[in-house]
Amino acid sequence: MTDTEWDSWQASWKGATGPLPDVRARAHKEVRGHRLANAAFVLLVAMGLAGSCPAFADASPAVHRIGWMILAFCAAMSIGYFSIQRGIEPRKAGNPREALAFLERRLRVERRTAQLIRWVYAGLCLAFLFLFPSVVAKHEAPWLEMAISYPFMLLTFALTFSAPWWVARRNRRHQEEIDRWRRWMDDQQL
Amino acid sequence: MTFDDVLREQGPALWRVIASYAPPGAERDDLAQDVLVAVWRGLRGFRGESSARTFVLRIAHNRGLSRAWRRKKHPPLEAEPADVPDPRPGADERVATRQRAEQFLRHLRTLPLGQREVLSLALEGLPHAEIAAIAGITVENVAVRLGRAREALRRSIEKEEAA
Repeated sequence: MTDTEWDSWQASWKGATGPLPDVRARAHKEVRGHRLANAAFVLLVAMGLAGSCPAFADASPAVHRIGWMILAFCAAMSIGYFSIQRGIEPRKAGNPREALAFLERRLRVERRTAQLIRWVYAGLCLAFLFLFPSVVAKHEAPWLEMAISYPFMLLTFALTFSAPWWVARRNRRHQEEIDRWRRWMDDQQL
Repeated sequence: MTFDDVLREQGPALWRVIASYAPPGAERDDLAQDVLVAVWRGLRGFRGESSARTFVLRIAHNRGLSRAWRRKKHPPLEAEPADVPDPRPGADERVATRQRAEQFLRHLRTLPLGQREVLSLALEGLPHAEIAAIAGITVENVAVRLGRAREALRRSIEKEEAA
């Protein structure tokens, strides 16, 4: 390797230049999307909390318990959401291997989220199972109300209790992709 | 540091990194968009732990590598466009420089990514320690990769000249 050769390469390299696109509009749009997602979560929680207010206004203690159940559900989901999000933020400019480590960390977080959903909803369904009969006991057709509500509860229970299973199934594919990526990085001497 | 500062000070270096990963045309434009959005977003978390140059070049290389991975999984239907010589008589020096640069970049893009990354950063004039920080490898490893990259690039250029 001669200095002349290196200088010639460097001249060719430095000679490469061109215009860069203006990305501000796209960047602002992405940030807005992210904020909207967070706002949607907060709105959902707020709606849940607002939904508990009429329950507390009712005279029946059974309905009060429904209000407490809604509050407990909102609290569990919010605490889970924020505690799971904490600490998974990728390093903004890590190297590619760190990026892969971040992807693996995210898969772990998804598995934990699935567990959170499983047990929070299981608790919710269990509470519903025992509280609902007392809530509808004085209605005109309590058995009809239970016949309509319980299948939905069972469906919710089945979907949420099986969440860890289908998340694991989907994550297996992602993990394989990460492994392939790692092998490719080895090939590319990265 | 604002996004405008980055564009003013690191814009040409960013453009070259992008060009070392993507041929001219839509693919390069797409990558440029990706890189700049990533830099724009990354700047909010920039704490000055490294120099701004290290920070933005690392982001650019990471985006380039991601693009290369996607390209490997889904190769583009069109082949990389060949350099078309300017047919106009007396094409000025700027055009000639640009063509030389694109030709050089084409050779550079034939190198394995690990070598390409290190060589492009060395050509940018970065010291080995800074290259090591960007690539996430040791300084000794930088020297080894750089030696291999130079050899591979020389072979690629010589092969074309012989043809």
